[in-house]
Amino acid sequence: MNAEVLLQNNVQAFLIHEADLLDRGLFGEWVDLFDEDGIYWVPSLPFQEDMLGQVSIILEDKELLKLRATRLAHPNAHAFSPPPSTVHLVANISTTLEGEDVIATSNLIMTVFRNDKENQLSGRVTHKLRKVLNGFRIQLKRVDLIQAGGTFSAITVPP
Amino acid sequence: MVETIFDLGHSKFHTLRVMVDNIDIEAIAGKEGMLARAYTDPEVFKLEMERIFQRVWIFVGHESQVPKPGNFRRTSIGTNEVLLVRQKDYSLKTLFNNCSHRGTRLCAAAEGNRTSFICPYHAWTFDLDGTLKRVPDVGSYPTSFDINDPSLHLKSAPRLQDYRGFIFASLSEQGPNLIDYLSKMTNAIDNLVDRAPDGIISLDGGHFRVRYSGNWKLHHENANDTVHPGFVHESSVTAARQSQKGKRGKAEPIDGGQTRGMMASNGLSPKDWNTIELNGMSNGHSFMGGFYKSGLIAPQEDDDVTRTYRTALEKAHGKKKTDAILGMDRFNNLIWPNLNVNSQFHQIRVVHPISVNETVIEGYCFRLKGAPEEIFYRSIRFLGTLVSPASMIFSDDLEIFERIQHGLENGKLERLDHRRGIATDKPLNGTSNFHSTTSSELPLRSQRAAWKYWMSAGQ
Repeated sequence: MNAEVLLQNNVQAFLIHEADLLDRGLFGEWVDLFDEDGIYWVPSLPFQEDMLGQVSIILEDKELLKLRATRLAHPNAHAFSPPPSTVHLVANISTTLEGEDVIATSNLIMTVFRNDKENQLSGRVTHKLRKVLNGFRIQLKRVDLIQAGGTFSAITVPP
Repeated sequence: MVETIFDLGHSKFHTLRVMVDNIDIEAIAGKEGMLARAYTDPEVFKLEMERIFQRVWIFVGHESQVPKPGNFRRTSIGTNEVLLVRQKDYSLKTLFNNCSHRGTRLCAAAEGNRTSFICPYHAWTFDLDGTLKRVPDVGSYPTSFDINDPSLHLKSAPRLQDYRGFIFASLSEQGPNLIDYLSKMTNAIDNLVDRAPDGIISLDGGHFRVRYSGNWKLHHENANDTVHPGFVHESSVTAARQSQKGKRGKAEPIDGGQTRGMMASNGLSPKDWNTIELNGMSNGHSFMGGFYKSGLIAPQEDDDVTRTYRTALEKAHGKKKTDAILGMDRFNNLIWPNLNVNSQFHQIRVVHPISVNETVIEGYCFRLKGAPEEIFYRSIRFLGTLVSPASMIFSDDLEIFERIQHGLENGKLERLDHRRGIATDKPLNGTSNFHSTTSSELPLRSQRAAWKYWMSAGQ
């Protein structure tokens, strides 16, 4: 297998694993996929460039992501009780190298089902991945939702 | 009240609005609590839109959203979609966003700049002030059709007034003037504007629109409820406290602990409930206070950014006035029925009723001219932490609103209860306003009083 195909396969396996952790509600393990200085970003606007001068749906460092995971594990996280069922469908994956790092872009369809109501979030996802022994760590995960700028219901499971 | 249902221009068939006539305002707005149907009955909602949202002053935007002639922004007055439009002479108008020909939604963009509004259907063209300028093939109309007939112009709110850049519209020709209507709430707006060293604030940094399946009244009723945070936000309080302990100097590049601190601050104990002061007015407005006095919250962070900001404010206002501005001890200034002003953190929330069981909340923050950029960034973080649909705090409030709605629609409760603190509220001298130093539901009773007044008035 040539290096390019191998990289594509490894990235795809990583993204599928990440989606699986989110769908199984293993948020602590999901947060562990982030590098110590990793950032998770869901902008509020399409094509948002400004991280600080424009509000975000989620903009969190690893400490805040841990906090988010801890809160979802609390029995009185009312918005998560009962928890929704979700499917994160990851497709259209492509990978490029940026120095030592890998930039992976993918499309996401996330279906959320809770209290007999179905909701969907979709978007284009960009992962900046650092290669580590036996895999990758997320330096940046950016989710550009097609719903950005629109009206949302509450979101508990990260897209 | 009579409503025409079939008016074909020949004969008129009238139907009595039986359900509307059957709405007993006095019974619904009980002293001990509202009847459940106030939250669940579409006929009550319809009447609220007519008697409240089409009569009182409704917040429709801030002047910074439409700075130049031709700038427009879409918003709503109750369930009516309107465009807030800056005129050629810099005055403002609120125009209904539908064409006077076939009723088509005129402007599909949420904001922008136009020299006129052209209907996509048959190109009827309206000036910025709503007057009809052009109708294609006007010659095929009968002579009775006069393009200058005001009934062919876009309908506009008969009254529009601003207070220091906060724009309110009323769909009623008559009523109290805005300053009288706002009464003590002008202080909250003053305080927010005065926090800008250059005296100018602008909505900036984006906004959120968040939907919940519940009645519009539930949001304002929750905002000044001092007992719920310890229960509703328990999961985020606990997680924030744990995170604080486990942190041990780990990097927090995003906001240096601001979000964590905000989450932890909801951990109010029963003792705290009774140190928060509440003010409720008979016109529906209310605010919380007493946080600084009791030491629940420090009036100011002590860091370089805050010191630089304070220096800029002192340069503009002097030390004494700066102390007064930054020391104003009021939170969640609720302007009934649709605006929440948080002066300290430069935020507003706007309530948009969609239907009896659906509501949209918009959250915005301000940039303070003359303040360090970092102060603006903190306001943006505050907005994201509190009003994002993914907020670890707000998502639980939304869940509660939806559970109340579900409970009221599917349960057996006839009347909700808002008696907490009713025996200890103290009248403020010479006014019809009340003050409380207990965990009172005074703000709910204020809102009920205003609701009852406007729903009954001028029948």
